[in-house]
Amino acid sequence: MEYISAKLSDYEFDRISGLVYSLCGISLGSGKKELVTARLAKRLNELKLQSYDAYLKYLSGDESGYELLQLIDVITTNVTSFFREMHHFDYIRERILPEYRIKSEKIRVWSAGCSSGEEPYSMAVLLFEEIGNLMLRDVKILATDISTNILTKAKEGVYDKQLVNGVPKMLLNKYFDAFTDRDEYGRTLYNFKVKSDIRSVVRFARLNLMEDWPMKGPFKIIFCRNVMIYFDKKTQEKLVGKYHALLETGGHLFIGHSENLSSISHSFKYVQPGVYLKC
Amino acid sequence: MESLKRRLMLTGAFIVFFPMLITIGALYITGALKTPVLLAVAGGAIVGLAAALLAVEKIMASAVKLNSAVEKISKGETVKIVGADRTDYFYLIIENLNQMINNCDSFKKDIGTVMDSLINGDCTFNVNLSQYDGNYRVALEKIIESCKKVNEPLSVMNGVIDKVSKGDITSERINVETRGAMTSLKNNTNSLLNTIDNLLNEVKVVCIATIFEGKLDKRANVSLFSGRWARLATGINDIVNTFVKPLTLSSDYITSISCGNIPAKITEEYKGDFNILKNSFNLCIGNLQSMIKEVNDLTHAAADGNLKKRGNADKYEGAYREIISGINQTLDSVINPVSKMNEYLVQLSKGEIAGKIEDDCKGDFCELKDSLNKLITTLDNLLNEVKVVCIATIFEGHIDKRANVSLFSGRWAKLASGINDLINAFANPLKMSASYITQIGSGTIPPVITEEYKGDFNLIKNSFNSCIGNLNNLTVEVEALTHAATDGKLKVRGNADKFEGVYREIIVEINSTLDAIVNPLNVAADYVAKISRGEVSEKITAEYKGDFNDIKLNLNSLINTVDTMLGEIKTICIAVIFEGKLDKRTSVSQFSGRWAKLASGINDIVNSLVNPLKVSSDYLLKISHGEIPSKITEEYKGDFNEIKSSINTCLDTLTSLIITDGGAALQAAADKDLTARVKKTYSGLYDKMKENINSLIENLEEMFKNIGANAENVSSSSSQISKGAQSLAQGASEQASALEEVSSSLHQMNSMARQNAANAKEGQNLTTSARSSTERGVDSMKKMSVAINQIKDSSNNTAKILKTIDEIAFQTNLLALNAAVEAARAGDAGKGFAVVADEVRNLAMRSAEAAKNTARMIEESVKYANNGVGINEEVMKNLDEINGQVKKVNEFMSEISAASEQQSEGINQINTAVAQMNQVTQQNAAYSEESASASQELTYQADQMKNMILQFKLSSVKTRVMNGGFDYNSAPGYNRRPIIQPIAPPAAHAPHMKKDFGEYENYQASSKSIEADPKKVIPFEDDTNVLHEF
Ligand SMILES: C[S@@+](CC[C@H](N)C(=O)[O-])C[C@H]1O[C@@H](n2cnc3c(N)ncnc32)[C@H](O)[C@@H]1O
Repeated sequence: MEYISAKLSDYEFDRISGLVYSLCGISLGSGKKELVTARLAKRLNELKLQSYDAYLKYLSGDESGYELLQLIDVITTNVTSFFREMHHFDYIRERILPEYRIKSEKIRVWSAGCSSGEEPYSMAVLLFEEIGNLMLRDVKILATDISTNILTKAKEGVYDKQLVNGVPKMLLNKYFDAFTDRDEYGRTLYNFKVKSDIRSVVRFARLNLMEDWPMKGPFKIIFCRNVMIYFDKKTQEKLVGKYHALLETGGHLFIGHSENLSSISHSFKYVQPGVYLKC
Repeated sequence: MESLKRRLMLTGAFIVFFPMLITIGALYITGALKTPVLLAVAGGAIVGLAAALLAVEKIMASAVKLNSAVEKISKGETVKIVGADRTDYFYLIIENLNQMINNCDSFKKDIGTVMDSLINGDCTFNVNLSQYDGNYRVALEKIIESCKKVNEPLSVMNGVIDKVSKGDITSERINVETRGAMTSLKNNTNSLLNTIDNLLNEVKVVCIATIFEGKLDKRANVSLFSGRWARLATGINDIVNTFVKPLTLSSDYITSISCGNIPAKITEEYKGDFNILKNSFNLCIGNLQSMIKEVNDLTHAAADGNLKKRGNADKYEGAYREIISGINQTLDSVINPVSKMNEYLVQLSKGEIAGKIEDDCKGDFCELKDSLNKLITTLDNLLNEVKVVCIATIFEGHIDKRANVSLFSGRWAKLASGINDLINAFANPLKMSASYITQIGSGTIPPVITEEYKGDFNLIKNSFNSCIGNLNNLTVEVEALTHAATDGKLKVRGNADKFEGVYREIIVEINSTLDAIVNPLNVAADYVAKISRGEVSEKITAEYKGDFNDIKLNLNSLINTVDTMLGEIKTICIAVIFEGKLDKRTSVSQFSGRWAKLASGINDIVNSLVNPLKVSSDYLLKISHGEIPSKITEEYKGDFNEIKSSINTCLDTLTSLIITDGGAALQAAADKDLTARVKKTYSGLYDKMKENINSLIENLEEMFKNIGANAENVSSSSSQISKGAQSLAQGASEQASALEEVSSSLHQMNSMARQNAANAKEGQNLTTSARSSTERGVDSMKKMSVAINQIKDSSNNTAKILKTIDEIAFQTNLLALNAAVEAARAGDAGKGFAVVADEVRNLAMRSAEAAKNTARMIEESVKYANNGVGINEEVMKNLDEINGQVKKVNEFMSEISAASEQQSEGINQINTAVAQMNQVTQQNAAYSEESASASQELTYQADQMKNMILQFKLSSVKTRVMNGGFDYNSAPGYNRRPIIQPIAPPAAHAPHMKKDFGEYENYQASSKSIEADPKKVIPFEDDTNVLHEF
């Protein structure tokens, strides 16, 4: 086995970033060249290709489209965690859910760009905690992402000890099953699997936000956190408009802590950082 | 249906065919039938069967039709069965069904007609009953009858309710005979009528109490009503309350203000216009209070003789200021003429009316003088009027002469009309007295007059007195009686005992006359008193004569007039107070004399109240709507003028504060000029408001300056952060790439180490097997050595045997020699023997020879064997050495293998660490991306804010600094690039790419086809299903 230390030329980088942009809206500035090189190196290694040029040829020759999915998989940044940006969940618990403890209205939540599932599972845990047994209620969470690999991981719902750090001990005991496993070198892994009740309210599906959305809505809550930062303003504006249309009146859109709708035009009412209301 | 038909036909066939077959068979067998006959019968049977089948078919068709028709009828559909002819099996049934359908149809229509007319309230029910028989007829009759029963009470009720709705609430109640729900409807309607009646009564009571009796506490008795009627009654009470409270309060306040009592401010809560009215009152009260204190101080100073003291006009504004400065000026100009005025006033207070004040005077004093003169004139006029009336009435006997009330205003007018009233009230008795006295005076029994009279009366008196001096006593008595009469002491009578003869008779006569006068007078007085108390009693019916009859008639007509007046006032009150029709007035023409005046007086009162009220309310409304109307220019008097000037002052202040001064400052601020301020001086709350506006604008300006400065700071530091975050992101990316390399080479190292371990293990195995081979060699060597020794042993033994053989051969040789010797001795005899002996000797010699050879060979082989043993030992030694070294190699090999495994393990651990590092790096990349995005947002917003602030005109130098401060465009290009601006496809933004455009296009095209592909290639139905769930 030999490490491929191929160089990514500007031309190749531009071609790849153009492809990625048209494919999933992620805009890769020139500052991302190293990142792209590093992430694509995995593919080159796996395919035993010697150059990025060869990779591009391989990519355009792959009629199955499989490699395109792999490209998206390696390019996307999947960083996430349980109860990330706790204040959003606090807001939902204090300001949205109280009235649904009694009202048995249906609840629809969408986690757009759910990555490895921490976000929708956190939401499901919150709903169980606040509303009680969701099995008796019409409550469903849609969790979508463009990356098929990350979705497979998400559906499994298995997380390493370190990954569940953000989950309060009490909730961890209540909603996760602890088990041990061995890695390829035979070392012990301490894993946690999300319980089936929680998993059953979360429905995973691959959805490229750039393509048509088959959902009819309306949703009460839409999460699209730390997804649109990889998109340009034009794309962001288009997506935010579509989120608005899919939300019910009084529904909320949650975006990431570093995002802001102030520089795009939209019809939401600002509530607090990252929280927007459809009036 | 089809299957039923088939079954029926089959069954029919069997029923017809079998018995026939059996019968025919039986007949045939018994010989009763001949073959041709049998055939004929069989043929007939088959034809019959066919006919029967056809018939069944037809019946079934009709049955199906019939069935579907009946099914429709049962569902309520109207159908007509057609196509039935007389040949049809069900002809009659169908005809009857059609008849039934027809009947049902028209029955349905007729019921519809009945219902429609019932709904329309028309009870003619145009239905021809005769077309029905039997139950249809009975049913329809019953329906019409019950409809009529329903309708009859309804129309009666309708009539009553119609009347009620037109306001005609009679005592009439619905009295029709009803049943069930109708009864309760009737009862409810009646009780509704009762309630309306009650309500009207209550309203009447309240109106009368409030408006005519002035009892403002009277309210409708809510407990008489229930439900919405109770609410209506409460509503009426509330309306009365809302009007009465502010009305009484306003009236109290206006009265006390007009009386010079400045009441405390109104604290009660009012709404709408009343509140505005209240506020104007309070403003007015405030100003008045403070002014009164000022004036009081001045008065005290004046009372203390300190005539130098003046009011502080600066404390006031507008009219109040004018009043104070006017007072001051008055004081100035008053000091000199004050004593003069005083004299007049003293005179006036004593009732002495001096001539007009002719002295020169100035300013307000002049007004005072004029007022005084006016007062003097008024008093003069009054006196003159009274004089004229008195002269006319008393001296000239013109009892119809009255004071001209229209010459006076206000209380003076009241005084004048009071005098008139007095004269009126006493006109008739005076007339009678006069005529009585005239009668006596004309010669019969002249009375004595002691009172002072003037003019003609005096002459009469004098002539009386001179003519009947001796009738003094009588005169005195009569005078006393007259006095008593004028004093209203109508019980007083002349003392007849004091007189004798004709005088006594006179007195008695006078007394009885007085009685005759006094009785009807008492009655009249009683009535008038009643009327004055507002008790309008019934007309006087007692019989009186002459003038008393006139009195009676007049009283009756007075009662009439009062009644009418009450009606008028009621109308006005209702119009003005309850209906808000402020223009409603009494028709004066239906009254005459004083009543006409009273009526027009009422109109005037309403006018004078309504007009300023309307104007005030109009103004207050406009002000409350944010309009500032132009000042009130109409003239008002007294308190109304106060209200007017208060409103005008208020308008001035508001104009300035809202439009010219304060408004302008706010407008400027609204137009983003924050340097403008409210400049004029205001008092009280207005000043507070001015201060507030100014401090608001100042605070805004200050805040904007700060925001501007902060925005600049934020902008520059956030672009700093942005740059930092960008390079962090880049660093993280590079780190990720380096880690990728490390991880990859670690992978290789790991596999090499594993390979080493494997090789070492192999070597170890090999050496192990080598060791065992050498060990086996040593073993065989040892065995060989034993074998050689054994060979040596057996060689030695063989040598021993050979020695024995040699000894035997030697002996044999000796023996053979001996035998030859012997044979030679024996000659010929021995000759044969000698040959044998020779032979034996040869053999012995050869044996010895062979033994010698063998021995030599054995010796040789022993020598070899010995040699072999030596070599063997050497080989063994060598093998032993090899064995030891292989053992060592083996140990090395296992050490190498263990080390390689350890190495591999180590590399694994490093790999895990690198994977974790990779995760952290990915995280860093994501987070730095996020913070770059956030700081870019921040820069954008700070710039936005700066631009917004730059639109404001601020008064300090900071603006300049800001203008030159931050240049957005000078920020590094990267700052603006990746997120705020969309990245165009590379071909479009990279000029050097243009030559490859075609290739890129191709590439795009292929990528596009790929883009569409994933759905096809990878089974996504699951995904699509899930997405469709939402
Ligand atoms: C940084 S993760 C955010 C995860 C999670 N929402 C959170 O805030 O913790 C961004 C995710 O967006 C997904 N993503 C990127 N582009 C996408 C696209 N065009 N359509 C759908 N998902 C996309 C990536 O696969 C990745 O999992």
